[in-house]
Amino acid sequence: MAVIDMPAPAERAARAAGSPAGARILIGIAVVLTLAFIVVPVVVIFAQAFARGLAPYLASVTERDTLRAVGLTVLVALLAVPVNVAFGLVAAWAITKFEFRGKKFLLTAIELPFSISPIVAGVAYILVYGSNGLLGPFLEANDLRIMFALPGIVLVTIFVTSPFVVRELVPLMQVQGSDQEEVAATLGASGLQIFWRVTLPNIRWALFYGVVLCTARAIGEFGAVSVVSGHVRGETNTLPLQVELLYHDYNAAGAFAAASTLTLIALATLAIRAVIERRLPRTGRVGH
Amino acid sequence: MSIEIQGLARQFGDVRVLRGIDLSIPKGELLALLGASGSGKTTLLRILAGLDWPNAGSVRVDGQDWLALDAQRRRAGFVFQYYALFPHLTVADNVAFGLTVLPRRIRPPAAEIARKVATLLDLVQMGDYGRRFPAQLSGGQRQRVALARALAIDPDVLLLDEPFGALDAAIRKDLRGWLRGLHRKLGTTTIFVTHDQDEAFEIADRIVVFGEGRIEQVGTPDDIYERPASPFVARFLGGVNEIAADLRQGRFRVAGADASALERQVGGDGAVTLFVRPHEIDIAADGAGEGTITAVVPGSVSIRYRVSLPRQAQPVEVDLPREAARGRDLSAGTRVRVTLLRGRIFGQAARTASLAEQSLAASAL
Repeated sequence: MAVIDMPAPAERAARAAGSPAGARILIGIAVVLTLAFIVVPVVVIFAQAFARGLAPYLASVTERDTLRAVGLTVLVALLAVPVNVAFGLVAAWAITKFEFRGKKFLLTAIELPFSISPIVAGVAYILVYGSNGLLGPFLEANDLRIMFALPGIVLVTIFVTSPFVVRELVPLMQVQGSDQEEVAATLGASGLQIFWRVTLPNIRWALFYGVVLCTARAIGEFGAVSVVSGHVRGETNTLPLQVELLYHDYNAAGAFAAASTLTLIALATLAIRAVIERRLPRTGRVGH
Repeated sequence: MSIEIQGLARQFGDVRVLRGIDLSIPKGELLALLGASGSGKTTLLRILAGLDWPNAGSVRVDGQDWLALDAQRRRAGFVFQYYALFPHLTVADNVAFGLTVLPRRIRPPAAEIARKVATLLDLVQMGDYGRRFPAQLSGGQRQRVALARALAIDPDVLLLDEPFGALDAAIRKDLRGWLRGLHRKLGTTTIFVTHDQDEAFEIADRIVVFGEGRIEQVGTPDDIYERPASPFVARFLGGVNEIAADLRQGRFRVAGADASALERQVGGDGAVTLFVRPHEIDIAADGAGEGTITAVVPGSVSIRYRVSLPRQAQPVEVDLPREAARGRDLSAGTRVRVTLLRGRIFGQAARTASLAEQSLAASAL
C-alpha cells in the first residue's frame, strides 16, 4: 500500500517545489538524512559486532551472562505480551462496542504510557512496590519480592507496552461497527461464540500486528526496566541492560554482538510488519 | 406470530426517539415502517430484534413477553442495510451460521445443515454461489445471502432494516417484487423499515407512517394515500398542494378555480387549507380561465404543470397523464381553467368531513 502510494506525494512535492530540480533537492536531503541517522548506525552495529570475525562474535553472543540476559528477556516478553493481548482485547471491545461515561478518559489513559518517559514509569513502580513504597510493608510482611526481581521487570514492561494492542484494534473495530456481532446474536450465537467466530476473525491481522509491535517493544525496553531491575549480572539483566553493561565494561565487541541480536529482532519486526500491512483492511489509519 | 406492542418509549439521553408506540401486527403480515431518518422506525425494529431495549412499554409475541428474552432466544431474523455478512466465511458458511452455533444436542448433523443451506440458497437464487466469499458478490447478491442467513433459523418474524437502501435503483426495483413473492411463499411475519414511499407502497400489506417518534397513521397503501390522517402524512407522501380556500355553508371556494366538485362539508365556516394532490386537479386551455401555466415538467408517465392562481402564494402543481395531456395544447404561458376534483382538510373540520365521507360510502354500499 504505502509503497504504491509513494510516487503520488513525491509528485505533489515536486509540483509544490515548482520544478523537478526542487524535487530532486528535497529527495536528496531525505535520502542523506535517512542514511546518516538511520542506516549508517545500524550498519555500524553489525560491522562492529563482526569486526573480529565470526568466531569471536559467536563467543560473545553465547557468553553465559548474555545468554542469561536473552533468556530473561524472552521470559519477560512471554509473560507481558499475553497480559497485554488480554487487556487490549477487553479494552478495545469496551471502547468500540459500548457507550459509557468516561470513555474518552479511558482512551486517553490507555495512551499515557506512550507519552510518559519510561523512566518515570519505573520510578512510579518503585514508589508503589518498593520496600519504602506504598505497598512495601505489606509485601515485606508477606515475603513478596517485586522490585529488583522478575515480577517488577514484568510489571513495568506491561505498563510500557500496554497501548500497542489496543491502538491497533480500536480504529479497526470502530470502522467495522457492531452489525456483524448483532446479526450473530440474532442468529442465536452466545457471547463467546460471537467473539471466536465473528470478532476474532475480523481483527486477527490487526491483533497479530499489535502483538508483534508489543513484543518488539517488550524485548527492547530499557528505561523502565533499568530502574526496577537492580542490575544483577546474570540474574536481573535483560538484553538491553546487558548491552549497556558490556559497553561500560569496555567490552565493545560483546556490547555490539548483544546489540546486533536486538537489532535483528527489530529488523524481523519490520519484515513481519511489511507483510501484515498488506493484509490489513483499510481503516483510514494513516502512517502510524 | 402476532405481535402486540404497547406504550413503547425509548430515550437516548435527552432525545426521545420513541414516544409511546402502540401497534399490533397479525401473523403473516408484511408490514412497512415508513418514515424519515430519525423518526424512530429503526429503533423500533432493533427493539423487536432484541438489539435495543425500551425505557417503557411492552412487546408481546403470541402472548409471550419478548422483552424478557435476549436476542439469541427470540428467533427473529434480522437483515441489515449493509448486509453484515461475515467476510471470512463462504456464502454457504454464512447461511449455515445460525445452525452451526446451536448447542450440540440440538444441532442438526452436518449433512442436514448442508442440505438446508442448499435449499435456502436456491430459494434466494444463489444456488451456484455457495463457495464464494461475500467480497466476490454484488450488493444485490449479498443482500439475498443475508436474507437466506436470516431464514436459516426458521425465524418467527423477519426484520429488515432498509434492506434495499444500499442498492442501485434498478436492482432495488427487482428485489421489491422478489421479496413480495418470497413472503407469499413463506408467509413469515415480516417487518421492514424504509424511508422510500414507493418501496413501502409496492411491497407492504400495511404501512405504519412514523413521524418524530410517534405513529402518525397505520393503514393499507390505499388508505394512507387516499385518506391521510394528518397534514404530516399528506405531506410526507409527497406532492401535495396546500391551497388557501374559504368554506361557506359546506362548500369550498377557491379564487380562480372551480371547487364545486368537492364533497360538501358539515359546518366549520371560515378560511381553511385544502390538501389536494397534483393528479386531483384538471386543467384545460381556456382564454377566459384565471390560471396561467408558469412551467411544464415532462415526466415518464405524466406531465407536471405549475399553474399560478390569483391569491395563492405558491403556484399549484398539476399532473396530467400523458394521454390526457395530448392534444390539449398546454404550454408555459397558456391561460387555463382549473378544476379541483378531490381534496381534504384537517383539524376540527376534517373529522366531520371524514364522517360525512364514511356515511356517503356506507350509503353507496
